[in-house]
Amino acid sequence: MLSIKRLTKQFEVPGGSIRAVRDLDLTVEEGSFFVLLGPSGCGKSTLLRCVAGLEQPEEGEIRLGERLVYSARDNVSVDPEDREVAMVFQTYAVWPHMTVFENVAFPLTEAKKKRFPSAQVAAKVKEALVLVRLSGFERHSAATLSGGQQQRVALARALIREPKLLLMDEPLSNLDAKLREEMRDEIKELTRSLGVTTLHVTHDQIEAMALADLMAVMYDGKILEIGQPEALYRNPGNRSVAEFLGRTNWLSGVVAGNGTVTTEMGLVKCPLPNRAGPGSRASLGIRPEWVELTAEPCQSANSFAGTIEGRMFLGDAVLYWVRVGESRMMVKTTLTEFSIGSRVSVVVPAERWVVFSETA
Amino acid sequence: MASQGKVSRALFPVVVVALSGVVLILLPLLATGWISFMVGVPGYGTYTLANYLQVLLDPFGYRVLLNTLLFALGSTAMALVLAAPLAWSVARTDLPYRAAVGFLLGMVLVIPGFLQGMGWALMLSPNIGILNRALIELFGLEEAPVNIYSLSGMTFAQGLSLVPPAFFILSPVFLGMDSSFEEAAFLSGASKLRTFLRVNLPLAAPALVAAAIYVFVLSFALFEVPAVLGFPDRIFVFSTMLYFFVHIQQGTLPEYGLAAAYGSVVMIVSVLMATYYAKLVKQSRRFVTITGKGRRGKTLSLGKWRSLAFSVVSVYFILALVLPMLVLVYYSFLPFFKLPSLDAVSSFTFKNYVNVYTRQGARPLINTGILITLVPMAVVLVAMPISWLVVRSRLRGRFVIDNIAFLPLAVPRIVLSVSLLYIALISRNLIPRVLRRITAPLLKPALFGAWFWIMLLSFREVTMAVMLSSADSIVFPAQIWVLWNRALPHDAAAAAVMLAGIALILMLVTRRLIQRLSTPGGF
Repeated sequence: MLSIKRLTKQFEVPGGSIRAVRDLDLTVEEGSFFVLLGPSGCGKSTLLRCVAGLEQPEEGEIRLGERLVYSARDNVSVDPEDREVAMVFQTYAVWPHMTVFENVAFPLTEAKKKRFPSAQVAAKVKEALVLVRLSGFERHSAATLSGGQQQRVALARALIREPKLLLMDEPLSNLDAKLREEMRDEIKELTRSLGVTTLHVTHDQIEAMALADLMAVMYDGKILEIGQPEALYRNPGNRSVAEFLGRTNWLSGVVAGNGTVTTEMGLVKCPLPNRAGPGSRASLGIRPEWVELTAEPCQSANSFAGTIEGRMFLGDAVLYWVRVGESRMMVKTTLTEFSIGSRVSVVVPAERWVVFSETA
Repeated sequence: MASQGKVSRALFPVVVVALSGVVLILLPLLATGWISFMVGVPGYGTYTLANYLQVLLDPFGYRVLLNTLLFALGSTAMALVLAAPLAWSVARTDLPYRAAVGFLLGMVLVIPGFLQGMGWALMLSPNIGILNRALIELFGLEEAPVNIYSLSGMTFAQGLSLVPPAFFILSPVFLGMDSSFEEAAFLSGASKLRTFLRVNLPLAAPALVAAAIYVFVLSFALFEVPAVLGFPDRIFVFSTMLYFFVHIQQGTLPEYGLAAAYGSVVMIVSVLMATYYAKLVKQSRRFVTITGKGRRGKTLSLGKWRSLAFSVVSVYFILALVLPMLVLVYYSFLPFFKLPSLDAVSSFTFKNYVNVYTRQGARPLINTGILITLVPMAVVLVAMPISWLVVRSRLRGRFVIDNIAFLPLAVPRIVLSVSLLYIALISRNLIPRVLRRITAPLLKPALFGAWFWIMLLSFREVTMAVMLSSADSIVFPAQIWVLWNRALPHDAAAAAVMLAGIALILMLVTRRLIQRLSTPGGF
């Protein structure tokens, strides 16, 4: 549906230029929900705006389906209004001088192509407002709506033309936490039932994983890794990706052979990358929720004696900081009975470790 | 800190200064009301309603009212039609030489409007206008094709010089506009024109109306251009009529009472419009959301329109600045009137410049120097406490103070808003060190900006100078006015060129200083 090849976009700044997107390739399949995740300034929004036609790249090409909408080589650049994509903005961009009805109807009544007769417009607006649960708000002035309601209007406005591609630029980041989760679930539901191809940009890894069929982690204008959320979370291709997707305990050690690594915590059994021969250095990572805690001393492999140093109650879980030898581990568990100073055993299932070779 | 309507001791000086500022503003206005009920010699008058009766009954007054309305509406319309696209192009498009446009508009603002009036009179007066004479000779005409000494001539010249105030009101509005509003329209499939008509224009409408009202109120009271271009054929607007009333005509006494009665009427109308203006400004702020994310409006490419837009801008500056100044420079070097020719150029002389000095010495220049030193000090000192009280305190009646401060549109809003910001920040950080280390450096550009801005405005102030100055207190712009009215156009032109030159230098210094102050490490 969307295919981006060797795209480069730079911005002129005093004293040089910044390459916001560098030589980037990306493909989004028809009907899938694709999320671009990355820290602010990584170029994800710029990439989205290039797809929308709001930014002009310097190199590469962009295709929507079979249609070439941008190509540096062939000097093609289709205006945003002719790309037949819709976009939801972080600031909602709901026009304050119009009613909810006028906002949502705008793509039907004001677009260059495909003007609709007014009876059909009314029916379609009604339908779209039902989808975003804003029925009955037609006559309200958009300026009087709350943030969440404005975002629903923006969504209805984006969906009403049944776009080939829906672009979402951090649409949830201006909402408060509770509303953000609700809207996130609704967006997921809505886009799945409509089957619209979606490209969504966010810096929130939970939002990204919750929404994505496929996601890309972006850093410094490049894509670090593309994959399904679960696969990326369990098996990240490199340390940066692992860190973007959630908190991780890291250990550093030397490969001892036999599927073990010597670390400051002791001998750890873990799956080793192919290239990691004995004597080479490796980084070992494990997420806090995959570490188990028990009160009894445990003799099995990958179990270590430790002491609770810190405790933080999160509601649905407890986060403990456990001192194990020279290192400190974060453990997230539903067990609430440990307190600071408790002696515990830390058990780390061997298959849960992610291991990367450390290059000098 | 003042809260819950109490005034703490620390606030006392602030309140005193603010209140005396209010008194200073109100005093002349109240005096106007008082005088309007008097007839006779000032100090010996008797109370009467005769002045208002005359205002009501005199057909001359109604003719002047009609003139004033046509003049104000016409010049406001012209100024807005030029300023709105200009402000938008400078704020949002890739118009070439945008920085220069801002500077040149500053020049148009700082050079008194009556210099432009003089320039146009010298070009298009029916008798001696250079352009008229050239056209007559070129086409063998019977009489001058254009008469600038007419209502439409006045309106034209005034409209040109009202573009800068409209521009400076509108440009922050366009700069602050969230560009995602128009991007959302593009991505809804709307063309650029439709986006402009259905999104940009309605969003900017309150600001445009507000600017129109502001300029209208301004033009209602303007004196300079109507004086230069209206007096020769006795075409009066309110301001020139008032001048006429209080200046001694042969065999009559100055009619202060009548002038004050007319003045009161104008004042009430102006205040009503100003109130409406303030309301609109509030409303337009609601529409033009300045987003926290700080994504600046994207610069739109004008594409094939770029050269056309640039030509229109150039034509404006040629009409508003280049031609009038050129003709003044030409006149200032001529010993007596000649059409431009080689012969005319060979007769060029500095005699007129010497005359400017020998007639009245350095007094006007010295007075002007004193004026532009003291006025900014006074304005900043009075405006700051007023702004502070309005924005930061909870003093009861602070809104009344605000409205009073707004009464004379003479206090430029740009100054008020700059000092508002200054005060708002200052009062939050009363800790002196924070103030010295952080706030003051942050605000230095704003404060100095305001300071120099007032300096330039007081430098170019003509109306009050002409109305109030005597032989001793005469300032430079008033001197030009005197020379012009004594039918000494060559001397007046020489003085005008000097004035414009000083204005240019002051502008350049101001810009330089503001740039230095705005860059970290500057000063």
